Amino acid sequence: MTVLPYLIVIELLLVGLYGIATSRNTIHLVSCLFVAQSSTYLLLLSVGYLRGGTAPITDEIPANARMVDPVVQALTLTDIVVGATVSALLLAFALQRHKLTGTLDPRKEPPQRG
Amino acid sequence: MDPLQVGIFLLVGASGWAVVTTRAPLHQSLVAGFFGLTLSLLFVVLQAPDVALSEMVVGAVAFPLMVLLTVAKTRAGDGK
Amino acid sequence: MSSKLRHFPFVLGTLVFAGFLLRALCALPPFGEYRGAYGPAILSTMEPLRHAQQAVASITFDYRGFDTLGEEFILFAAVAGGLLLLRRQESEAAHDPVDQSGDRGGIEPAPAVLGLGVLMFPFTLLLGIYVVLHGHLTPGGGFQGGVLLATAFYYVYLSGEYHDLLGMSRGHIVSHLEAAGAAGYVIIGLLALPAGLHYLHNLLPLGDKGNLLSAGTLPLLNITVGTEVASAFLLLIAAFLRQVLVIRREKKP
Repeated sequence: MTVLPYLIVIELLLVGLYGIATSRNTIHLVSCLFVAQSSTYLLLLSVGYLRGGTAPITDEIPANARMVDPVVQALTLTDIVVGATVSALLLAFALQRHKLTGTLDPRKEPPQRG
Repeated sequence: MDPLQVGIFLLVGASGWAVVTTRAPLHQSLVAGFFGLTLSLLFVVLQAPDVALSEMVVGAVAFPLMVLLTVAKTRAGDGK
Repeated sequence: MSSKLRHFPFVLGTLVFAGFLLRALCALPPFGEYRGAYGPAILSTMEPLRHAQQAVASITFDYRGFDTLGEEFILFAAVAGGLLLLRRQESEAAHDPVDQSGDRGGIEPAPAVLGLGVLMFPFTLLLGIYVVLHGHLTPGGGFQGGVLLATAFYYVYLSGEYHDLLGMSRGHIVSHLEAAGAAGYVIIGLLALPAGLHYLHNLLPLGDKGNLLSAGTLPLLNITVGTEVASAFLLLIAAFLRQVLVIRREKKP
């Protein structure tokens, strides 16, 4: 049972990659990237989890309480917000491509310009 | 692992699958919002309230909103 | 080449990759039996050295403060790139927003949506400010509170006052705020250098643990990051909204 989190991490990463590889719409592709990216958050937090641990905030908590690892949480936290802005950049690319070529299908070749 | 964690892990796995297999971007933005919510629920049971808060505002609000607006723009450009 | 045939190498590669990944992840400590050294070290030194009680915030803005500086500039660059792509092109014209369904004159929100928007805007704004300011005491901080603050302004859009929203973000105030947030982090880091200390050294008075004014530079850094993230998301979503509502392809003469 203790490998279940890691199985879910692998599933999310591979399902996201599968979606990217078979996508026929660049907006769909960005959402698949979001899923693949989420697997890293899950991996980090699963590694840092301690059974019976509490959140790493030491207010009104007995001195000998077990706490989960705060380092991986700090890593994940900034990752999420930065990842969202990078997704926004990719969506802006998709939008601009649609304006120039009239298609969202990533398999179509962009028109060549001299 | 307690049963609550097992259940939410399985829910996250299933909704991640659902995001990828929903091919229409408009429907997908709603499913992605639900996926963001299940993720933030999972972060709560993994004792990471900071990360859960961050995932809730980004994954369930900001990201689906941007996808929705991109879909709206590309549809509005069709046939005009 | 048919798409089935094209997927075959991908699926094969994925299965091999999954096997290696599973082997690697199973070599990690089992779930729930974390054995790292850094987490406990930070949890035990955080209170005596920094008078802080929120480990995640002290790591983000103190122990790993320099990394956060880098991440802040990734965010800054991504937003700048997005805005650059979403500006009005020469071949496009800006028009007043029109309703997509032709049978209505203007865009009038339903009274319930208008009421809810007006009601929720101040509460969400207040919650965002609270989350930013108490980032070093309770879960929250500049990153989460910043996104919350930005979403508060989308109630303005929902309640139909999109002219106000677009006008506000078109002016230079929000982009100046974003730049000020990014620069504030750098400048707070520089403050420690004349005293002969490391960049981003926490040199302000530490105060009493649990007070709003405690943990030295943590609240200040939270505020600068909150300002930057809030204005970044405000600019970004306003740029997408302007694409949908205002910018139309120019009719070819």
